[in-house]
Amino acid sequence: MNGLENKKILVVEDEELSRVNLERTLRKEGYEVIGVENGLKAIELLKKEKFDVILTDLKMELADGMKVLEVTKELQPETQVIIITGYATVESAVKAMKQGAYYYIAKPFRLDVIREIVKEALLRKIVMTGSHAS
Amino acid sequence: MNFFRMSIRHKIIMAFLLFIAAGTFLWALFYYRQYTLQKKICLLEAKSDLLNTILEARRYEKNFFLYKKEEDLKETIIYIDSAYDQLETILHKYGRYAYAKDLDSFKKKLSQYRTELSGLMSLYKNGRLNIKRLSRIDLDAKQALIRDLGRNITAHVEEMLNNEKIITERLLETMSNYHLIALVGIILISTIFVIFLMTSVLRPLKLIEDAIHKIRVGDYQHIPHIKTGDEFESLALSVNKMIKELDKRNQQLIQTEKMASLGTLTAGVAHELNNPLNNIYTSLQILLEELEEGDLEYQRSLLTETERQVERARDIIKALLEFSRERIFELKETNLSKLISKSISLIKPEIPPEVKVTVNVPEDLVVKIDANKIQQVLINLLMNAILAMNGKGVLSIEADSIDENRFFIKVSDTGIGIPKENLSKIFDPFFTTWERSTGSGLGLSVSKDIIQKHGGTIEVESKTGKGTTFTIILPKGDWK
Repeated sequence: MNGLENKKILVVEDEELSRVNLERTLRKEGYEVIGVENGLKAIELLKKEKFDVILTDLKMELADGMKVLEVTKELQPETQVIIITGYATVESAVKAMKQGAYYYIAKPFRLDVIREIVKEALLRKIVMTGSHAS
Repeated sequence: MNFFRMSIRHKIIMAFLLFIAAGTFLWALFYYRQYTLQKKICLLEAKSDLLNTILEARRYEKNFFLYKKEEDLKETIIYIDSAYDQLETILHKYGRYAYAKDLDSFKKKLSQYRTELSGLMSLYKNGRLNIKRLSRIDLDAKQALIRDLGRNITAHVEEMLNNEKIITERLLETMSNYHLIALVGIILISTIFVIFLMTSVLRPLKLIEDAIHKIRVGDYQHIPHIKTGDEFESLALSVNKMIKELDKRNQQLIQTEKMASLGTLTAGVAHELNNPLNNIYTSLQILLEELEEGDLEYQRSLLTETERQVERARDIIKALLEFSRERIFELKETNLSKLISKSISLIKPEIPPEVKVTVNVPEDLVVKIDANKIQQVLINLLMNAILAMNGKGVLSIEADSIDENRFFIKVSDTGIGIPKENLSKIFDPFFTTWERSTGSGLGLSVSKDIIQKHGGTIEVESKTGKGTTFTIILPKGDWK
């Protein structure tokens, strides 16, 4: 074990199958995973619970990934946000990174890449906060 | 040469020539009749003079028999000679026009009358009548013969004069008949000419005018074939060729505009495809990773879900391909609700997260339209609405029946609105206010064309800062 078990991960994705697949993959890695289908629900949850990593889709109804990123940076600055999107453009990637996203992944993606990036993000969070706080 | 196959120019020249010919004929006829009448009146005068001369001769004749004076007899003979001369003059001068019946017998009577008078004259010697040479009875018989002849001559001339009068009166009568016939003839020819103008000139002109008016409102229908064989037939053929060409250009313009909006749509749709692709991709990866674990139930459900995602990707591509295909204008029964849903799904990638879309369309509304073209209009209006809202607002689409024959589609946004001074220009080709637009500036102009081609109308209402509503009214179908 790498000491990252029980880390809390939030998956925000309006595509149900993708969300379920992501949850299943990440749970298998030993993380605690919560999935929601839109940005508004994610923001509500962020107000109540702390997460180590947030995986969010960019384009969603009601509140999009950029909004989730913005709220996360405001409420939980140490939480790492990974943007995943089917609408990947250089502009949107640059904008996301400028706003403090940890990584930007284009759909369709390999699950191995997700596992790798999530792990790196968790390690970065540990480095940033200097502790195993959860 | 067939009159109906002649050119308009030739027909008009022919009509005028006919008019001139008829006019000339009538003028000549009247002139001749008037000339005859004039001659007849002169003749009447001459004949009446003749009658007077004869009556004068008879007066002297009567005197002679009363008083037996040689002077009276002389006078009678002078008048008879004069009457003979007058008759000769009449025959010579008015021969063709004079009524002359039994002229020879009249002449014979006249000369017999004169011979008898001359016979009496020869009986005079030194101013006295030599009675001895003639018995009393003979003188009486002579007198009776001369009187009889005189009466005969008078009656003959009187009859001639009377007949001449009757003929002149008849001539006057036929003159007025001729006037009436000429008047009817002129009215008839004029009417025929007017009818000819109406059918050969005004009717084809009206047909061409109607066709051009229809083009102006977007209906590219051919002028019905004009088979006059004249300039109008070739004009109609040229106009029909032009209409065909215009229709073709219009179709091309519609397709060009569609391709322009397709350019915008394609980027969004291509991105949209990544969603089902990602669903499939991640599912397949999980299936491969967990193949050995043998949870058949889970694997089956994941595969079923994957299949559904493949269908979804297929539908997205199908919708885009269907929209992009160039089709000829064709009315087909279409479920309006489904068409609106399809249009929204195509522009879905363009809808910002904070734009709410509301749709209020009865699910069973079926209308006869060119679905592809109406979809082009809808996508146009929806894209405009999205651009107008700058990422936030409500986009609503409403449609329903108005009555048995018509229905409406309303596309409203809560965007920036259109300034009053631009409202009249928005349907003009190449008019655009979108600075960051990838559009052609043809969207609304082409939309209007498409709606007009359906026999419908498109109207706009807008308030700056409040939003814009486009209202389309279309016939439900079975229109021509």
